[in-house]
Amino acid sequence: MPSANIVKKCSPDFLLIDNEVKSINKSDEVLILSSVDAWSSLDWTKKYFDGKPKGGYFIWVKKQIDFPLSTCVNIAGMNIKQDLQNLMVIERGIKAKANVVCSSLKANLFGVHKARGKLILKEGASLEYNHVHKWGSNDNVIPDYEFILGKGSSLDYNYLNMFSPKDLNIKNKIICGEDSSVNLSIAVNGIDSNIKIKEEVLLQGKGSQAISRLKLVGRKNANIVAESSIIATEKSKGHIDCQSLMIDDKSKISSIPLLICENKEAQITHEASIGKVSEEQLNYLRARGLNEKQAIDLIISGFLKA
Amino acid sequence: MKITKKTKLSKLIDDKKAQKVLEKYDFPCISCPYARMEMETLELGKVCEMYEIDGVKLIKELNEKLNK
Amino acid sequence: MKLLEVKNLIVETNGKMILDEVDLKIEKGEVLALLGPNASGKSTFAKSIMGLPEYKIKSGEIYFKGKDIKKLALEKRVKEGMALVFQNPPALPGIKLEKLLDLISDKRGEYEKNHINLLERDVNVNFSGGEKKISELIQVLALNPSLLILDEIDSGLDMRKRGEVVDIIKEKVKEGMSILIITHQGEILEQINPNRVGVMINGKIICESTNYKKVLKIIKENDYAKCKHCKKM
Repeated sequence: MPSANIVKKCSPDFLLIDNEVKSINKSDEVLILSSVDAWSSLDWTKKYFDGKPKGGYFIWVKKQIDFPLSTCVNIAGMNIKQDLQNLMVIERGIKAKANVVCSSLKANLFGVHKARGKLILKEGASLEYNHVHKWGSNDNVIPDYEFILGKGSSLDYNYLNMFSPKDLNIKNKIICGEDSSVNLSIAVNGIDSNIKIKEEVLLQGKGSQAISRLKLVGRKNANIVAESSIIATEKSKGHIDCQSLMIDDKSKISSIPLLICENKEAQITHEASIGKVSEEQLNYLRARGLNEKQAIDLIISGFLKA
Repeated sequence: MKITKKTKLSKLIDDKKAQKVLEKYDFPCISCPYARMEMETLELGKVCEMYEIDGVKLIKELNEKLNK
Repeated sequence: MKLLEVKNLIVETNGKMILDEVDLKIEKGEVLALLGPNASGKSTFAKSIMGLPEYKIKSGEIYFKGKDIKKLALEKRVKEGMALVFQNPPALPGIKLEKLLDLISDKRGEYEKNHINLLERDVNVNFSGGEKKISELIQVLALNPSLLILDEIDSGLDMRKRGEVVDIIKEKVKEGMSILIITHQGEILEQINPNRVGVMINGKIICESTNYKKVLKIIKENDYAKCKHCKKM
């Protein structure tokens, strides 16, 4: 796969369509390469990749930036298979924001999007990572991300999927170092989909903290299994909050919060609930002229984004 | 307003007639939440090129619909 | 033409009769005030004619613009030209007022320009009582209804906001909008000067009058005790 020409001032910072890198932005503060180029030109990256990558992005934030990074990974053609490895490294003390979109540009492309990501936050770094997925109803999507938080670093990870594919298998693993903190928010609108979510937060550093919020909607034969766990091995704090909405009887949601504590100084808690759309809200919106479908869509959108 | 390949998406994105035409061509940026933030810099022609959309046809149709 | 005509309406909720053979008419361009003590059925009446599903119509008729709307769905009654300001609207987390307004109507009103910061907030989430009323008004004005039903619009409003609301009502009446205002406070009536007033007690309209001042005076002096024995004035 040829490398893209590196061009200046083109948004997004990294654009991949099917399996072709279309553009990469250049700046002094951030080095962006395709993962293939990073593997071959930067030896130190090899330890973070799981073998030679076939595709994906490498983003190394070396100096403080005053703009959000943006990556766009699209499937545009029929029957495309993406097998990507993405690596992002935020250097010490740097505060960064990344807006990441992975999507299918049309319905019924029967695409496969497999993406393994590793995000390294070095000491004192902070990252707001906004991850949006939008898929066609016949796609198969497998994102598997690992976040490694150095001492005193902080991560705000927001994942939103309003258009779920046929099969969605999400894995997130967050390893928290000393005094690091993470706010995780996963919101999935499951429509006629098989969805598995496995989220694992490892509070391995003293003073580390984590809040994990999961919001799930099941409609039209959606089958969702969400396992959200916090494992504390040091004095730390963590909380899991899983809220789900069932729209119809044909869907199924299994919400499984799990707490494992191996340190008596750790405080970890969870809450989980599965409910239905509020009649009061539904009728209120109908009293504004929205039909039932429009009202439910709006309530779901609000629930996932709130 | 004459639409060209240099036209910024910010000029088109809130126009309902333009949106209909863009949707017809499966223009990616209209539903992307982050593209909205970059509308001032994204050029119509550039996006067409990246996504292999027939820019000549799209621009012609936009001009027909918006400048009727 | 009568804009709204309600005949012998009996409404139940949770198996209990709340409205007992209610008759009420509203003419085009008319302002009708509905008074009554708490829990007399005023809000139930408003929500029943709007078509909220939890209120079961046992019997009776509802005509709007000459059309029988008893079996018409709630959102279709809105399209016909009815709109309700809720007394206690629910919170809509994650839904900005601006976004809701975009869905309600293409034509947006002048009134909302005075409340831009409200538009950017989630509907009714941490709104004060007054803000809820303003938000309700903004929404119903976007619908541009023929009949506007105001359920206790004046409760929770400070004097300035009440003045704002009154100005809007007067303006809309001049434009030909009919108003059904439900209240149990007389002050707002002094300002909007309704054409007629009705009094509802225990789910029945026991009084109708074109002289709202006289009715208010009686209520002020006797609470609603005297109203129970009132003949139509």
